[in-house]
Amino acid sequence: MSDNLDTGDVAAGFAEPHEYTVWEDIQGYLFGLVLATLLTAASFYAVYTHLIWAPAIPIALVALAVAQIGVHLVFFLHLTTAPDNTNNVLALAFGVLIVALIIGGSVWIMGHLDERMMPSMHQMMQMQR
Amino acid sequence: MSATDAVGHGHARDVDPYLLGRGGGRGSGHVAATGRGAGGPASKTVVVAYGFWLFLLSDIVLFSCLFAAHAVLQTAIADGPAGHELFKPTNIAIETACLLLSSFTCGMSAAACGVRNLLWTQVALLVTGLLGVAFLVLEAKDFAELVEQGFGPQRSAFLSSFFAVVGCHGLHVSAGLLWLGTMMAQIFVKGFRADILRRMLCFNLFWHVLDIIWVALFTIVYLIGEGR
Amino acid sequence: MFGIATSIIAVGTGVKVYNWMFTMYGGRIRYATPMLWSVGFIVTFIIGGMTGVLLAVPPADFQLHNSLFLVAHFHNVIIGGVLFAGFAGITYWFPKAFGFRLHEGWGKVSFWCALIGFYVTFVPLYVAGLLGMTRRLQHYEVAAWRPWVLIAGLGVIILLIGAIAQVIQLVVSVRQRDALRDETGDPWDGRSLEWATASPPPAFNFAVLPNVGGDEPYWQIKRLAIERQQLAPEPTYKAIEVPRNSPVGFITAFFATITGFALIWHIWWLVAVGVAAAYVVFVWFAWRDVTEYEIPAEEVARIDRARRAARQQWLEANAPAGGPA
Repeated sequence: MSDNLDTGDVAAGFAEPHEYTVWEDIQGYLFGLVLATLLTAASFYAVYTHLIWAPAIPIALVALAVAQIGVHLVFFLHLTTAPDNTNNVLALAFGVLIVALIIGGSVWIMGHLDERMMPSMHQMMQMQR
Repeated sequence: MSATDAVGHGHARDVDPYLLGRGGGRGSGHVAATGRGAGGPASKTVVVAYGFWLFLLSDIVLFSCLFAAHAVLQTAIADGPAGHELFKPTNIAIETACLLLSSFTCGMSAAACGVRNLLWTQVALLVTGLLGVAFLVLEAKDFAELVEQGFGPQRSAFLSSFFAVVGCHGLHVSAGLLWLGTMMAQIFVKGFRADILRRMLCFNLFWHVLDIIWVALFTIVYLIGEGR
Repeated sequence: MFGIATSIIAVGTGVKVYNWMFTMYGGRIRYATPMLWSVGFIVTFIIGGMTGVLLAVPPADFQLHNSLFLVAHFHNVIIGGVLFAGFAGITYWFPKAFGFRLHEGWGKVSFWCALIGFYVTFVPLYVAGLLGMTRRLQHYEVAAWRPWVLIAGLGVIILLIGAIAQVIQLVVSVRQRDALRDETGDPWDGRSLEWATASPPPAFNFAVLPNVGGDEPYWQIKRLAIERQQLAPEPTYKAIEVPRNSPVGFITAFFATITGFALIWHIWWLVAVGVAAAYVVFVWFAWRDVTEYEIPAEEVARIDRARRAARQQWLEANAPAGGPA
């Protein structure tokens, strides 16, 4: 931990460079675990009970997943908005951009293709029933 | 320019640690904000962890391609079974619990490393490994059952993409377990040497990212797939 | 969608082309071999890009997809973009990597044969594509295509001569390497920092971390040295930590290749062997206790003083005209 003090930059996944007692360290992880468990339970409940209006379930799940990923990043990976973490956050932001383009772009394009192409023989027979 | 000089500058009240703007015309090397060159090049720990973080982000991009394929193909069931007919919520819940707890115990091992406690580091790593093995065993059993019933990756595009994305995650967990075993052996034999600690940091990053991907996975594949 | 996506490539490329042109504008261009390849790249790549934009129009593409027009287009961009630019880079940095230049005469021969050969080969193929000839034909019976295909054949012979000229260039350069030696490390009167090192550079690249205050830092250093007719003062040399070499990457890649091969052909036992071997090699590598070695300050000083001596010689030999630091 001592060679982290020269530049004020913090390694990804590393807790802050000032002295941290073990108990504080463990507390952070515990809190993250509790939050993550709650969010996971909420996701399962949303799907398997009728607490949420059915059409809104996918969006609720995505929101809960994003929240849980955030909890992981902050409490387990120690990725915060502190100035010594800027490099790591910037890299993450770029990664998120690429992921959004890949997944969003694929779903968008394939959705359009699905709409505009003629149904297959199989699908046409199903439509006739 | 020694390290203490740089830190001393950074503690001046008028220096904004985020250093938005041009640093008052002083250019690089004069202030202690990140990446400004104060104190010279970054330490090995910072460089290694940043490089590994970039690798993990590229791994996440790999997974996003598989996710995109699955998202597009979730309804391409070719008259075969759809998600809600195949997935067992109890199994998924147990697998999720295993991985989440293993992420926590991995964090515990990092805390133990921080105070150089050999016993607790090994115990935490062992528990992490056992939870990971439990996860893999459950997943492998699920896969074997599906294949037995004739619902393997060749059955439909939906199933192909399902096996691809969940299987890729499982392969990563397996590789992680091999790495875990190696780390336990290395810490036991060589102790808390600086380069071993850097590897532990990288392993931590890897294991936590695996859990992050699992969060996305169980949400998109299993839970959203439930609804279709 | 297809039309939009294809056209979007052209926008950024256009910006880059203007970038290169305005970088060259107002300068004094020396048509040494790397410059010839670079200019050939820009011209050829632009033409190939334009035919690409033509293909981005969906009705046109409906006619021309999988015709020789398409084939000529992508060869235009690949040969112009990848090959010519690649050869420019190779010729430019060869002296830095190997310590001696490539033979200039044979370089020029190979460039002109490649450029002329490329156009003689592929322009007739554009025409043949517009006349309806498709790709991957084992034989054809349309008489109208024949003259174009024959001219393209002649072009291929010119390209072959160019390729042979490149091989000859390499052989001649190696044989004449002492005459072609790069003494100072700066054969092109360069402006960027790589030309401040010796050719080939020592294991540590720079003896002392250079202090970069603006763009073109090496040019500043040179101008100063020429003005003052002396090199910058000798820096204080310190020991440098350098990683130990290892063949492990190569060996692991070998086993990874075997694993990939076995996965394709479902040779499951070989998959297990490949994975196990790669893992064992990697763990053996990770077990090293010594990952770096230190080059002592005296050794750094010795190597760097040799570099400075070579440059001092150059400075004296080329007194008022100018030279490297």
